[in-house]
Amino acid sequence: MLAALPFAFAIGRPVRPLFRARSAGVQEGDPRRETAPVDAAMERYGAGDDAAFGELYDLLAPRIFGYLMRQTRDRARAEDLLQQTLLQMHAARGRFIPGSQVTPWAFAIARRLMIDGMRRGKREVLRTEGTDGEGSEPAAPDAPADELVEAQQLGDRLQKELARLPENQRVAFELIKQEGLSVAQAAEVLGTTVTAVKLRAHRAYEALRGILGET
Amino acid sequence: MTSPLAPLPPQLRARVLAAAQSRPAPARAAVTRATLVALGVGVAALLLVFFALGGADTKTRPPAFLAMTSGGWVAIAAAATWIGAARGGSTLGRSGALLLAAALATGPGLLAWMLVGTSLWPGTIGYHAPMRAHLVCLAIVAAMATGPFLALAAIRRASDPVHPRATGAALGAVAGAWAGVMGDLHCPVSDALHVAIGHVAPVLIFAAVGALVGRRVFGLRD
Repeated sequence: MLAALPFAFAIGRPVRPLFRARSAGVQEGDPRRETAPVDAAMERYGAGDDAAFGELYDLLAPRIFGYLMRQTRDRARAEDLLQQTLLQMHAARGRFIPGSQVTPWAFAIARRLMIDGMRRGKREVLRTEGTDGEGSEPAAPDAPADELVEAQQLGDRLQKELARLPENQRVAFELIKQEGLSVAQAAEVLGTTVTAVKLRAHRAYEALRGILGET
Repeated sequence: MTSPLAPLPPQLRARVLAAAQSRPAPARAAVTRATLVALGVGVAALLLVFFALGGADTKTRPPAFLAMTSGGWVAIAAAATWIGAARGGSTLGRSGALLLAAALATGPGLLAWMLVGTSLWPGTIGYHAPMRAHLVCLAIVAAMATGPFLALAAIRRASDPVHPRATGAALGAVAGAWAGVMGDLHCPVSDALHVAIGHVAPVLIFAAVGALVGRRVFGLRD
């Protein structure tokens, strides 16, 4: 069962190593490929280049939207939060520190807006039930049908088990494993230390492994 | 990884860009100018109270003692400022744990340094002030801290999406620490109880105030 874990995560999200070395080579599809252009775009926007905002949107919006969709399971809500996130970044553009990373900042704003919205009870965030619907990407089209079904079931189970984990462990795990942030970036988003995030994500991983290992 | 779960509608992009265009936001140069103005006003307010009360008392205490204690307090306040007010190369600032550590450790650090100074110059603890004197100094230092705290609040308002309470606490400690430095220059009483209540307690009070108002003042607003 454990051998299928990476494949299960491939349904709706990519497979990523739990802790990524910062010095590791950058591969195709790796979000770090975007880091430099997105940071450069934000630096230019912060410096007063208004045209850079469109570029920033193009580089950042799909990723933030993906995160918000996975969290809210509500397309309208995710679009609304994405718009608010980008407008917050626009309003605070002069406060962006040149040389710093824009991705953790953007994720932190999106997460804060989402949590505040949940607290206000404007919308109910559905997190735990299933991964089917518009939130899922198809798995590899050339995979055998039985493997797809097994992986889909495992993916569903993982989501349910993930939802049962303590909040701090789940969030750390999701940011690293699902959203592709580095441990350092996740630590920034959560306002804590790298060591704490490593520990939380590792505990989540071990808990999931323990649960899935039982079957 | 970076592909969305479902494609973003093109009209959303146009809507976001139009909304941004309709609400101009200051760029870095303007924000830097506003920051410097706010800091200037905050420091000026602190100095105004300091000089209105007579400035530094340099005659009552031995110059070496004054240099040692004040130098140490300036170093502690500078360290608190570096941790609590500077964002350490990240737009999100430092970790909440570090900010809280700065908020909680600054006051005790100042007191500990004063105790080191008075242990080296025991003659400086000749006068034990009454409670009223403690409270007068507390009020003076609190008055001096108010300007810098308001300035820091203006600079960092509605900007912290992660740990606004910790940010508020750290900024309160920073304002309190610099006020404590000036209060200690002004007041020659080096008795531990007086220093604790009159010069150091405002650091903790402003840290507490910062934490209390942090969510509302420093937290992100939608």
